[in-house]
Amino acid sequence: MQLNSTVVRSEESIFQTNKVIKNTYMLLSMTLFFSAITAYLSMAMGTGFGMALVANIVAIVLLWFVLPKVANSATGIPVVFAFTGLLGFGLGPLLTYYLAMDPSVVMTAMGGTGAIFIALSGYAITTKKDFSFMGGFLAVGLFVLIGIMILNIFLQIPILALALSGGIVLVMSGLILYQTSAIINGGETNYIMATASLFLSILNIFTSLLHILGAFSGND
Amino acid sequence: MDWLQITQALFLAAMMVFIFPMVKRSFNKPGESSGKWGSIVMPLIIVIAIVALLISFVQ
Repeated sequence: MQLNSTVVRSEESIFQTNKVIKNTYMLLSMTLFFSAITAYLSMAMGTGFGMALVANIVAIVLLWFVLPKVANSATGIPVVFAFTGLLGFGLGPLLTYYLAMDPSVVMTAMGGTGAIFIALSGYAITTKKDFSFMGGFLAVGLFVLIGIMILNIFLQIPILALALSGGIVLVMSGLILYQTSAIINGGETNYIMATASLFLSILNIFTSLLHILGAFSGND
Repeated sequence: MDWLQITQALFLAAMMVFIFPMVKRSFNKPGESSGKWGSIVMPLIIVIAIVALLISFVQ
């Protein structure tokens, strides 16, 4: 009897996990498409860096203060679209800059981001390893990176900016592993929060790759 | 130094304040066994290899 209930519970747990994975990737693909549209609109409108910063600030406010409160309701969907749309809009000036410089850098960064995401998600899903132990390390890593970012706003050292981009790619890759393993092992059951987290990691990898490839292409 | 850079720095500082409780919690947790860290070597190599490949494409 107990064995049967354990088996049933386990099947329910697997079903629940598969449902969260399916919903997360579906919502993630839709939000990525939506953010591509808003990024295009931002480029067409000729949005400046000031406006992009405002869009990013509003997006982060949504992520910190609104999304956790509405993530368990239907309201969470429009909020996650607003969040990703604003971040996409904020990308406009950066994309305009790199497209004017060398369009192949943008395409390569896009392809590279996709390759990194597929490789890491595939690794976490196929091995089913638990990467929850990385949580503290990733939080500290993110904290240190943001601190160096603030420092470099004032110092403006190009090699430090490049090292920062490399560090961001590594920390965000760790976050993709951490988040995917949390979904697989039942640590994350909310697909809206999982989508927001994965989207942010993908976006940061993309912008960091843009900086790295822009620098190495010799045009930056 | 213009207002855009100052706003950016303030925004990042606010992010640090927001992340700080997570960082504090991570220091209070017991240390993880070093064996677990071996599992991230392979993904790390994959990411570095992809970035190196991309750099070779644009050079």
